[in-house]
Amino acid sequence: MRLAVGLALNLLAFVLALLAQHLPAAAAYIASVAILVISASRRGRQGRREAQEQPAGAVLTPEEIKRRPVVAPEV
Amino acid sequence: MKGVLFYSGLKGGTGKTTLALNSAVVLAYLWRDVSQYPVVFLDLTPSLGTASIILMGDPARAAASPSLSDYITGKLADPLRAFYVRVWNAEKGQFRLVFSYFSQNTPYMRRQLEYVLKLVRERLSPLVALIDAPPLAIEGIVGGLVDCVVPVTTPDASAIEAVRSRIDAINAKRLRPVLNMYMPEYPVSAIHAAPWERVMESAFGEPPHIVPFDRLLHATRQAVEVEVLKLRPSESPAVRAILAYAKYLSTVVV
Repeated sequence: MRLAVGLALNLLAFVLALLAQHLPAAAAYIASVAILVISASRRGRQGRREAQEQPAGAVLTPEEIKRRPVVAPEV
Repeated sequence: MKGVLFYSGLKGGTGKTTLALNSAVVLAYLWRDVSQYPVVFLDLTPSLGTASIILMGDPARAAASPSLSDYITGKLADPLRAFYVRVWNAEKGQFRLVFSYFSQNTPYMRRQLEYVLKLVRERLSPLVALIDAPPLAIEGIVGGLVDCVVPVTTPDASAIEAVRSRIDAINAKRLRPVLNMYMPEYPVSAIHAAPWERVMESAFGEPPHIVPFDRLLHATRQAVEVEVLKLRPSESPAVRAILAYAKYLSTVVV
């Protein structure tokens, strides 16, 4: 949603600039850049969190497996 | 005693040893109170198969210990002196697996293997002997000596054909085929223009038992450990599938 608003504001800024409305265009451009930067940084944080939430088994090393006790192989 | 051969024709790297060894361990645990030596595992791979290294725990020890190679070359008169017992302790008690292997590349004849199996049957009285066949032309040696054969393949047209084209020479009851290292992201065989499950079904006459690709199995192999003894079913889909296949074996073999 934030990304869509940011892109819309960015587009609006260019349209206003074409219409010689320089002051509103600059304001819209600055607002769009701020929204887009915030949106990008949130996505980055979420990606890192997802990477950390990988199951522990996925990163088990042979040494860690070696140290584990024997599990009864129940069927 | 029923003999069960895990077979992939001339194709190596299909996960046959992983399936055979893990099945042997699961059945040994399942039948721990039924018999003193419920399961015998034979690794027929020449020059130290992976299973023998895992069961002996150390390649150097496995190479230095008496093996079936010594019986074949005449250094051992009694082949059962090349058999070992691996014991594990679990919460519900102790369980053991008897096993043997070849430490060298010693070609053997059908009658020698037949004699070994006869001694195993008479003196150890196991419920099953699980045999891990190497990817060699072994059909003439084991053909007729085993009761059942497990076709093991990977999602690979040549692996499936390698088993399909030669399995009848084993002359044993064919059990449910296993499609190992299956990756759901690649469900279709481009050569057959059909899903791998259907390709297997058309090759072997019944749908395969699927064991998914699982990185944890590779890590456990690097650790030289038995997967079902170190990984929980909840964390490894491959272990879940192997346990399910062992349960199937327990119902159809004995």
